[in-house]
Amino acid sequence: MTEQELIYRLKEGDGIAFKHLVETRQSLVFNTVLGFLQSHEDAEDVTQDVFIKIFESIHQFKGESALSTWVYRVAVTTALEFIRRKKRKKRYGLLSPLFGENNEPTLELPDFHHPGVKLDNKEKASMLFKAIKELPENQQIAFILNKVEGLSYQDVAEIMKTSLSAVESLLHRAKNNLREFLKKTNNLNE
Amino acid sequence: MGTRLTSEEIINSLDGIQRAEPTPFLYTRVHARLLKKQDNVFLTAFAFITRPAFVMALVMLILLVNGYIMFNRSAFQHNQEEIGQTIAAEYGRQNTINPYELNELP
Repeated sequence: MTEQELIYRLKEGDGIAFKHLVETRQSLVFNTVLGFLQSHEDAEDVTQDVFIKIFESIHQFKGESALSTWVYRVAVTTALEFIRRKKRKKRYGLLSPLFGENNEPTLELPDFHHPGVKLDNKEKASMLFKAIKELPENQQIAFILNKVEGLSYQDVAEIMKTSLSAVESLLHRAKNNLREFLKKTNNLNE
Repeated sequence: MGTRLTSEEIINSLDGIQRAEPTPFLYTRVHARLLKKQDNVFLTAFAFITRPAFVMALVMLILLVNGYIMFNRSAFQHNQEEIGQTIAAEYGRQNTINPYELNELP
């Protein structure tokens, strides 16, 4: 099935085309979402949300970019919305205070271990994922799409609807911020 | 950790990362959720239109519309009668030709 045919059939509400889309793009969506959420369970739920959103809003896709670019956009937006919702819930949660007197977390979340990272890099990757969470949203998007998804600067720029130089700048700032955060929290050598 | 790390080592730790696999039957789950969502739309609509407040409001609206139509109709009938009487009063004597009076023309 060509991409044009797939888009046409998706817009017609064709179930077989939708099944094809899920099967061919599930890895893309799941890995992107997992990079942001850093939880296997949450990533599974949000991946399903992404495909439901795609099914419901495919008529809004005008074909100005590749279908995968649009799918990436939906995945990133949905993952970020989920994180914001979760943060809001935590902030206003009444069951248990999350922060102590000095604004230190009282409940430590378990470290995230990405299943695709080499065994000897597990510990380092876990530290990196913790630091990624501290980045501003735009830097986070650029870093995850480039480093976790392995996309080129050009692809990242298309997904983020920005220029190539803006992506380069975002990645440069992201790395600087990560270095600072890692130095501060892990007492590293330089 | 035995050896001390550099931030560069940590930042480069994702090099060569493999893709994670979602659990199988993702499509079945998405499909089930879509069906559930469609059912929920109908259930939500049904629950809304069977709410006592909605039913009462609908009955009130029907009564109001009914009353308005009735009032307008009686006012219209009354007007029609008045117009008829006025016309009859104005033209009745002057323009009515009585066929029995035809021979009595001067």
